[in-house]
Amino acid sequence: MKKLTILIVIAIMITFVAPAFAADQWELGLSITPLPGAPEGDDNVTPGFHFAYNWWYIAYATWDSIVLPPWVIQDWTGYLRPGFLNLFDLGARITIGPFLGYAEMGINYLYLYKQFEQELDIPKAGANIRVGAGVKMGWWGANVSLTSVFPSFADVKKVIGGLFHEKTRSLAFDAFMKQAVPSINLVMYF
Amino acid sequence: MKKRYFITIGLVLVFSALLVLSGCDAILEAMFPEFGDKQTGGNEVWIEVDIDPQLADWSGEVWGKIESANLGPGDPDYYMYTLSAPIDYQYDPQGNPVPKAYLDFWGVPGSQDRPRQYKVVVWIDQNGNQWPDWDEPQAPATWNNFDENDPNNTWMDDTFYFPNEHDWNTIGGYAYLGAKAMNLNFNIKGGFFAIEAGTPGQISTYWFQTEDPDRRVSHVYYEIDDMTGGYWSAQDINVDPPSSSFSMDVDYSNLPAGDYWLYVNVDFEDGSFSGRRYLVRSGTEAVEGIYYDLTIDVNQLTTGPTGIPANTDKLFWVEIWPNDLSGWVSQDSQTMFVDDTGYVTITGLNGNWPSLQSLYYHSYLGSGQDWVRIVIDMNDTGSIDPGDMEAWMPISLMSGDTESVIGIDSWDFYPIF
Repeated sequence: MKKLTILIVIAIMITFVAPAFAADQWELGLSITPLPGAPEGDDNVTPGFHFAYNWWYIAYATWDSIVLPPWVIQDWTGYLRPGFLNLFDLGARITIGPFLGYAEMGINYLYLYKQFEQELDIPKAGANIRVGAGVKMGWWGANVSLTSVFPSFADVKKVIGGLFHEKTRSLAFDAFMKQAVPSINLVMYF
Repeated sequence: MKKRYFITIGLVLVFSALLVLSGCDAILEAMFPEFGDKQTGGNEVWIEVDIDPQLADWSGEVWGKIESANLGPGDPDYYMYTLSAPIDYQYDPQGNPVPKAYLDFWGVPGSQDRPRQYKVVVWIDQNGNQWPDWDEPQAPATWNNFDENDPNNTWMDDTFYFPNEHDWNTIGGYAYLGAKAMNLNFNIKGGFFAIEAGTPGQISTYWFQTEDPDRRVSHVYYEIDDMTGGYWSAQDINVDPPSSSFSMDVDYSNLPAGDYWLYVNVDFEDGSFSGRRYLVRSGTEAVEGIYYDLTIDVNQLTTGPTGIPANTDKLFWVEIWPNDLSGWVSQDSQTMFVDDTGYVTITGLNGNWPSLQSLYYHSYLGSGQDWVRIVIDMNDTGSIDPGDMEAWMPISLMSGDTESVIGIDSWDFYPIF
């Protein structure tokens, strides 16, 4: 309950301070991400939280936290417990009329239930690329994103570099799509 | 304006960090109530582990698994998690090494309203998979439970449960990891390993038996995977009350034609764990009376449980057993050279293994030859005895087979006790 209060306080605080930066914009939202390959009886979609800041009309910083059910965490780390996949990204967002599109890259940070309390040894942070497009209707909007998660920045660099060369473009695109996870996001703008 | 900007960003960052570091647990507990301490607080089990200094590899970590006693993963009250601790190097007054480790399980559910019981097993994780494997030293943990009928208070209980008098209860337990391996061997027999492809309602009943009759099984998990590791189906079976022999059904309904592994993993009553796999073939089963040659490719013998030094001569036995495993019907032996790739092929085609040559197949319905057993003379005594390792594979033939190839590896071998 205490933790829920913290969430509410953050939301209220953002609502109050947002008008101070009229040219800029804060975002709060929720997402739904499918989880292919879920064992029978386990969740095959998972919710996530979205928090973002858009400034200079184009610069875009986001934090997305996707809830991962125990079977996914066990698959990735061996620990049977739920967790969060946190994606901290930086990039550009372009808005034309009611339509918007964005592209970003950043780091992934996996959090496991009681990770610090029990000093769990889990994999280091990785990296990701994310693209998305959607509509904005005043104070709310919806968009679809594709996030490709990689074990390191070196992998991300390789894929982005590959996209700019004709010979490696299709390979890089395949690598992006292979790791890509689609999400549907509902967003409130402040 | 700028000052306000930075203060706000700062505040948001601080709250965000708080949320990442601690708030997440509350959200996760709300979404996954089977985790966490919603049952008034939770409990603690800590285990002191003594390790036999003779253990060949005691430089790594000790792992522990706490798991609901007699509840399977399908039960809403089922709870399990694993954690590790480094081995602590201590010395006795004589200077002899006394390796120890301390495992601390926090937040174990249990309350007056919902009392729980647990088993704890500890092991040395030699292959890095963070799971107790049959070839790793493992042991159940016990604790000194108070018994008013025991004047010396020596009752060591291997089921952990809490007094639930407070929001947070603690039990201290003990485990000894000895160099001597526990006999966790088991087998399943009497069922089909040749399956009619794509047929609804194909259920095969096996008789499950542990080699050590005093070791009882509380839970079985089986999974059917294709040869590339692709998942086909799986099922949990709770064995209540725990038993060393029982029948179990495996559902092969609508299994497409092809070769599969049937993985059978078991939890023993004391919390220890074992598993093995069986080759299952799906197609049109061969009728009785065909002749065929058998080839067995054995891989990775220089690693894993067998760990045979490269470029070594080893004596191998190959035996053919009937489906009821009542005794071998033919046996050959031969010294094989295990090179640095760890690969050995045993084939009836070269004439060196007569038992595998032109076998006459009777099918599982008859009293025919349905199992192949391979034994490696690990202790070089020249005879099959404790200390050697064996692998069991069912032979199942499809219509049109003239030669059958079975591929196994080091992890298919189990110790002979």
